[in-house]
Amino acid sequence: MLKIEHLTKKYGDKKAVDDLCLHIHPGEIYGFIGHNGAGKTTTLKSVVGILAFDEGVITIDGVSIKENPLKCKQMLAYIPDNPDLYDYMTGIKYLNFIADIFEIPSEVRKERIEKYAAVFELTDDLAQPISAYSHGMKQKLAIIAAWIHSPKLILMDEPFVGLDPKASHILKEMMHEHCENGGAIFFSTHVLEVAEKLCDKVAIIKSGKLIKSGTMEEVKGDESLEEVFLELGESEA
Amino acid sequence: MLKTLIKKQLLEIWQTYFIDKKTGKARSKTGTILFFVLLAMLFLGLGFAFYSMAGGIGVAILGAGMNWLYFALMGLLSMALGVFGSVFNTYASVYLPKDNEQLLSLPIPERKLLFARLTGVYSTSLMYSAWVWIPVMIAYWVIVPVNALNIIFPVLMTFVIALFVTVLSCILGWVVALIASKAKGKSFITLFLSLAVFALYYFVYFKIVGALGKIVNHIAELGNTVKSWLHYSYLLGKASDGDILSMLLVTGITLVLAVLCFLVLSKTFTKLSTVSVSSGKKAKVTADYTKKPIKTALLNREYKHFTSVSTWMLNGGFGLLLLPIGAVALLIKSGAIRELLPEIAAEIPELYALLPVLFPAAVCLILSVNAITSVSVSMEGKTLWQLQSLPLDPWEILHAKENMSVQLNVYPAIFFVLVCGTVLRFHWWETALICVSVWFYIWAISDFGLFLNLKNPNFSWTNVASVTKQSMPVVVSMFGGWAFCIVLGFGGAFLAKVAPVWAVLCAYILLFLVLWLALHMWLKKKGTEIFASL
Repeated sequence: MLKIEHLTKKYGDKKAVDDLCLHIHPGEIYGFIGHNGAGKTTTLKSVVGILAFDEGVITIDGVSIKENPLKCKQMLAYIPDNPDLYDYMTGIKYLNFIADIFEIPSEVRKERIEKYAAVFELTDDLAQPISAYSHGMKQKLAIIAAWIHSPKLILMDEPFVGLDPKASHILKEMMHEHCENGGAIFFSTHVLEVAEKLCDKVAIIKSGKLIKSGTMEEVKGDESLEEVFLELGESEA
Repeated sequence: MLKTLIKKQLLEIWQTYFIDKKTGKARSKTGTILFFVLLAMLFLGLGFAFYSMAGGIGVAILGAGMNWLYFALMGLLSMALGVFGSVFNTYASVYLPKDNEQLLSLPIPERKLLFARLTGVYSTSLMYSAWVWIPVMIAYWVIVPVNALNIIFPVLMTFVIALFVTVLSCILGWVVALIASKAKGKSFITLFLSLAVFALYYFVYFKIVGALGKIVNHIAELGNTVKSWLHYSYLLGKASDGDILSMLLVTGITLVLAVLCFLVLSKTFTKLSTVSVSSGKKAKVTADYTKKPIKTALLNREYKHFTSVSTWMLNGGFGLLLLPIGAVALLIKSGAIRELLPEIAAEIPELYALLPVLFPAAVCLILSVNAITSVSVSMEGKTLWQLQSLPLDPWEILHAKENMSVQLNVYPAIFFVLVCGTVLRFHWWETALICVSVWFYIWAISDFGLFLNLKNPNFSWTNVASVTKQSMPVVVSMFGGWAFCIVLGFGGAFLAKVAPVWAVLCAYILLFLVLWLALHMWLKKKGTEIFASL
């Protein structure tokens, strides 16, 4: 589904991401963990095509994001860590706008919006301007927008920040459901307990370099993910 | 603390001229110098116009020995331009910056924060009022013998006038904020309210100037009227002419007004700065799930965005209002104008013959005020990620921005041309050619705005006025557009000496078409690349 081969991204002389390789298969929930400034967001943005990178190849279902960004973007959805949405729209107008861009038929979008808005208890707020939304409500709206066109690949940057426990639980269920239907999810998180319980695979990045990746068992063995993360951080330092 | 806050406030206005917001690095020295040279030329060009006017009036009034009256009248003009420059931004720059809540959460006394915000208003007021006042001072020094006091006092008066303008702008901005807080974020209410306050101010202003104008030939009578009814202006005039007591009085009055205004504003600052737009009501969604084409969805999004930001509408779309208002005013006065036309034709036949050639330049000059596209990229702000992550060709996005600007401009402009063509009795083919030339100019100026904004985007603004009013693309687009139209008018008049009117109008069309095509091609190729990499 997603292949990242030798991805390198520099800011000036500093390598934010250094020769990163990752493969994500359909049906996988792939966690991406690392310290602040490790290169997680840079990697996610490079995959989404909103950040040009210096070296390497990124393909989604065999399509290069550099050569055919529009086709790739049709297959993916992205939720940034702090979703700044269009304050000048109401929730429903925003969702309709996203649905228009993905050319979702009226009946399909109606069904999906009503379903997810009900799940997140956002139905009554959809008529409100987004400027009146709390951070959590914006996060929920961004999640609904991401799911609206049934993308193959969903990329999320710290998706659980700002969500209440119930919404977090719903999101986890949605992630599982998405992957059971053949989709894939690649998300960054600092909440290691969540990653440990939720992910099929995990990658640990430090200073732009991938230091460990694989199935949860391969990465953590008998230890907790937190212990592995801290040990790797120290040993690499 | 206050120094830090003021520094931050002024930095936000000026850093865009020195820092490339895309890379975060300093602009090249050559680029910065060239920009400021261009800006200085534009300011000098319009400053020269004020100098000529001040010189003309000065010869009559200063010659009659009524120096104070000269400064009093010019002071009114300076204040008028100062208010024009800063009034639309006061509401946005004092009450709407995105960092208001963050700063209010810090241990900063709200009065200090308000004071820092007002320094931004003061700097804008100073810039615009000094634009008139400096040429006024120079004309004065050229005409009258100078001494230490009449050199120093007019210079000091520049700052006093700016402070008075700040007080006026703040009161108007505060009234808008008060009513907008009840309107719960309805940008159109804010827009109409701002325009109403603006119109009221200028109604009063023009009434005063009109009344003074009627008696301008009787300088002594004019002087008595100003003394009786506009005592502040009288003191301002006397002070500028070197009268110490008047200087102390006018400075004292202005300072007292400023302090009172500050105290009034500080009472409600926190409340008005933190107004929530939520209606608090849970509304049932009566959603329209109709699928729309991508082009329509993007265009609708642009309209929604534009109409939601009153500051953008006021600063970027002011000419849109001037054109239909001007057209209606012309229709109302059409009888008088038609009576005047034969007189002009008889007395100044050269000017009469040039009317169809000068008129398009005048329309284009008004259209240059409409800096809609020159901020439309920056206005994406922190939501830019959204457009970039969607499966959209950057050209589709830029095209929607271009289309909105053209659609908004073209109807009022064509209406204005048709009305003027009828009232001024242009030939039908002249009106038709002017319509075509204006139509191409609208495309060209819209694309020019996009070009400028793509070259100088700013996505990290906290105060929307710093983008819609004070950013480099707006300044260059508006003043550059004016300069271009003035040159165009002179060029057209010159060409009309050797070519018939239809040929000059066709030359306009060709020029605008070439400019538009060049900019259009740049946008489609280079512009889309830049947008994708922002």
